[in-house]
Amino acid sequence: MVFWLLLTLIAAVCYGSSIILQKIALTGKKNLLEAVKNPLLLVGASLMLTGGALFLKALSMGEVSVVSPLLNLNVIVTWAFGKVVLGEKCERIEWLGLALLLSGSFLLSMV
Amino acid sequence: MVRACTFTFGKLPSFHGLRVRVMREEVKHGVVAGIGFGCAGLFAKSSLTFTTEFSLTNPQHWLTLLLSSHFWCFLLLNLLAIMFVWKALKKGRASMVVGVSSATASLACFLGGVAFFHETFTILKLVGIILLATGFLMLRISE
Repeated sequence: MVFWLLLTLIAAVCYGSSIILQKIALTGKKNLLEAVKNPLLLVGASLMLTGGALFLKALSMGEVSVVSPLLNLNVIVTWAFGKVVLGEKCERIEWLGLALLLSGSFLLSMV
Repeated sequence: MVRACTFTFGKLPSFHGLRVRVMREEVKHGVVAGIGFGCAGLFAKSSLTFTTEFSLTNPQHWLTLLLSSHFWCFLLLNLLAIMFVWKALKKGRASMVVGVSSATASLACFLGGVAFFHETFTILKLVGIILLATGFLMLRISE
């Protein structure tokens, strides 16, 4: 596999998992200050930064028309983790709506 | 004909057969966060116009960036967008928040790119916008 492609996929996983960690840290907290004390929020934010750095690195090595749309895979990663880790449920029409949003942003990110 | 419309909390008002709906918090905050991320991207792009190839390891490039007001707008907008993502995540579903904010950011970036940077508008991108609009409509219907 091409190295920059692998970096983009890792960046998408970093983004997806960072959102899940932040969600866990924020759930049940009264305000943001209370949530900031939770180390999970900091780990989540660090993962997000790591994802950003990997994305920049992949962007500098690979084609922007492939790297940018591929990063949208983080939405799928979040769906999967949300379902498995948090047990999130969506109605059928919501899944369809999210799939359309993903396809739309994929097309818009293509150069 | 003007009709008086009275309603209490928990009961949504009806107007000409259409129920007035309040957008769910996770979608609303996700959209606001997406607009923030999209505008931040535009500021990032405009703050990088001083060079054709930005180097992460070049201190001169970083200094120029730090002196640029657009770069600070990029940071501020990103911070505000993250606050809205957190607000949405507090009560909403992660999959919905990420889907909505990511789509809105793409749309805001595209519209800003066309308006301010004269980027090209292709048929493929038009299809993308139609898909986004349909996707948002479906989320609205599901409410």
